[in-house]
Amino acid sequence: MDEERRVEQSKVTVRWIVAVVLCIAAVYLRRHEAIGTSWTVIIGLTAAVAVANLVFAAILRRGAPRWLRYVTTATDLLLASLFVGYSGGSGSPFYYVYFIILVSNSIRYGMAMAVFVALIFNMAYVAVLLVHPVRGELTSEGVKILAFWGVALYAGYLATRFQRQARILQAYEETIADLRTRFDEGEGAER
Amino acid sequence: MSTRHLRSRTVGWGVVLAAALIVAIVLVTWKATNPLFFLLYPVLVLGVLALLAMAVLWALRHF
Repeated sequence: MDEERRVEQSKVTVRWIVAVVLCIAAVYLRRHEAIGTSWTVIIGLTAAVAVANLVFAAILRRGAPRWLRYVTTATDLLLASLFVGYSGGSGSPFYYVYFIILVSNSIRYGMAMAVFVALIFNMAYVAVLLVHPVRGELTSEGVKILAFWGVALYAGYLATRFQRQARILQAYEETIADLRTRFDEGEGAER
Repeated sequence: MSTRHLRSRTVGWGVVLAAALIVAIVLVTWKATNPLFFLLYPVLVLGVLALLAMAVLWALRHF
């Protein structure tokens, strides 16, 4: 199984777990009237995540095209934005979901994905702010978006460094294996 | 012997432009009256990053 497919399949598993946890949290907060999200929206969004996950799992049975990583990530961000939008906008207790998506994808795919996530987040969060206008100044919202960019770039940088070190380590392992083969062959010839 | 592909003048203008973009980021954050202004962030942040990266790489004699 190729690496891309393995990674996307692990994302499908994590998506099921996160969806269940978020659904339970939303139901709990709704019952205690901490959020004003309607039951229809909670059930609808949970169903949307489930359908998206089933579609991704079906695609992954045949293989993992390169574009799939961007489609799954963008879908996650759009569903998270709908969730944040319907649960209070900028004051939503589910804002942290964006960071789960950012960190999990950046670690897996590196700097390009980190910038992609920050870009989609930026646009989606502006849409959330347009639908749920903030009272007073927008400075704190701007700082939130900038902080997200900061975390994205730093996570992307760390992931890139980690990927580079992993490649160096793999090259060392291949060299050692190659030297060991040559050594064994030389020893066999001497005998 | 390494060849310098960028002139110091070009890099200097790049740094000045990066500083201007940072000021623009601060102004957008501070004075924005509509969330649509935040759509400028990707251009501004990536612009600053690219220009500063160019300056640092030039200083380290990568080009």
